[in-house]
Amino acid sequence: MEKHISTTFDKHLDKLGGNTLKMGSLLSERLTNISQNIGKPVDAKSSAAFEKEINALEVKLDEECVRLLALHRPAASDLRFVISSSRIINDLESIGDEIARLTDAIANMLDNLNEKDDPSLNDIADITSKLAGLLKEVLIAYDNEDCVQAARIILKEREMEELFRNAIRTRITMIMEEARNVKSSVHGFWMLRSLERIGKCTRQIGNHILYHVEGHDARHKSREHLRERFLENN
Amino acid sequence: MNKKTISGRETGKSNSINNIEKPENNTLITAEGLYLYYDNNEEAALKNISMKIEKQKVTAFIGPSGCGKSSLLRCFNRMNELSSTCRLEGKIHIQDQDIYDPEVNIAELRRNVGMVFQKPNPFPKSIYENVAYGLRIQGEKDKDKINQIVKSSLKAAALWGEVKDRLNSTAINLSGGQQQRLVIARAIAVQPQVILLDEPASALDPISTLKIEELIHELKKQYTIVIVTHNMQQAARVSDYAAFLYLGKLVEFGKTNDIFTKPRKKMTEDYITGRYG
Repeated sequence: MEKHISTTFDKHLDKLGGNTLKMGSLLSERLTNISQNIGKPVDAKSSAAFEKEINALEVKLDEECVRLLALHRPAASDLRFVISSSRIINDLESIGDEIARLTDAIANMLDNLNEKDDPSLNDIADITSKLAGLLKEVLIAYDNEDCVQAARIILKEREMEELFRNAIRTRITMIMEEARNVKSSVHGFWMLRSLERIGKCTRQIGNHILYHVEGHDARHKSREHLRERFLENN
Repeated sequence: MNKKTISGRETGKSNSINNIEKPENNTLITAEGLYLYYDNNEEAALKNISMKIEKQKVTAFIGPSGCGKSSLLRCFNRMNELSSTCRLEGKIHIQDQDIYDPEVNIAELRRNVGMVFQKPNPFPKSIYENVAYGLRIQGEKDKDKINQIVKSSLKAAALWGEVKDRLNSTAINLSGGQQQRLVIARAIAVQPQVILLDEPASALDPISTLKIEELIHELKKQYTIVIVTHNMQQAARVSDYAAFLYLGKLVEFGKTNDIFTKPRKKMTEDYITGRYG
């Protein structure tokens, strides 16, 4: 994109985009960290500090959006960029909340495990790692204003439904086989719920990118619609 | 940033009259293949402009200085003809009437297509006489009728409450915003179909500007309004349709909402986002 006549406007837009990416990167790294260290003791202090950092970033970026709207009155693609960034910030903050819940659920599970209990967190680690990857990819799509990549990520996230179904099925089987597994399985359900929400937020971010780049509102549209509109011939 | 988009922006035909689809029966003004020359040796000030302006809607012309906005506006009531070297090619119809037909009565055309300029230009007469002036010129002698029209015009221009007790005071003492509303009242007193507004609020303070914008919202219930403005936020606020002109060409014409959120042409996008001026 060509630069604006107002260099201040460009600076403010760049700052908003850069800080949104920074917020997203922190979350993606955190998810990767969780997936790699799952089963190890959770540092509650660092988890609380992380949540605080994300909340502070949300407030700061919201202010940046308001300032941009009030001072520069953006139009067309600039307006769509500010609006979609504002929505993305909201979704990133929700991801931050779900990461906190996920971490709490893992900590609770580990605190209450008996020696003989099977934590069975491999599938959770796998889903978390995949979501960290998707979040990273969607942030790259945001940075590159790449709606093709954004559409691919939305579809990939929807394809993860099978992984969630399998993880739920595994826990139901564990409960049916051994009553002692109820506690760890319930913790597992809580983790899956958080992960599912993280996936949904990542998908929403993809939709916001489509809106920014193409002015197209793809929310609540079918997979076929996305394929036809964005992926055919690409 | 590497931008990867699917839908091409430059797919529309820029100067086609079919550029915008509107129900035919709602069209009041049709311009077809307009070329305007101020001097025979000069380049055309307007080049192949074709557009349809809808009845009882506000249409805004936007674009950088010298792009032809005011020239196009003045074509609709043949004001350009006040310059003897001015020449127009193409056609403009208001309803079914070709307004450039030699048979057309220009005074009657300008009654039907009223115009308000950037700087308020009340006559050095009383408030009452300013509004009644057009009626008197038309030969109206019925005092009661004139009184009634003066009152209704001032009410329609949202000025009645402020001047009803001093109708015989000179109009020159009104504030700039009041003078501009008085000029609008003067234009609507002769019951035009169209009101042309050439930067009507550019010389006014923000509050007077908002009053004029509010007035435009009210007036469009009865009149077709075409407005030239440099204030893009104003165009976005008051108009239903917007036309972007550049170097005498109509670059894009469409619903204001689309022009300001999702313009089809890169040139429009660059202009309204402030990427060039």
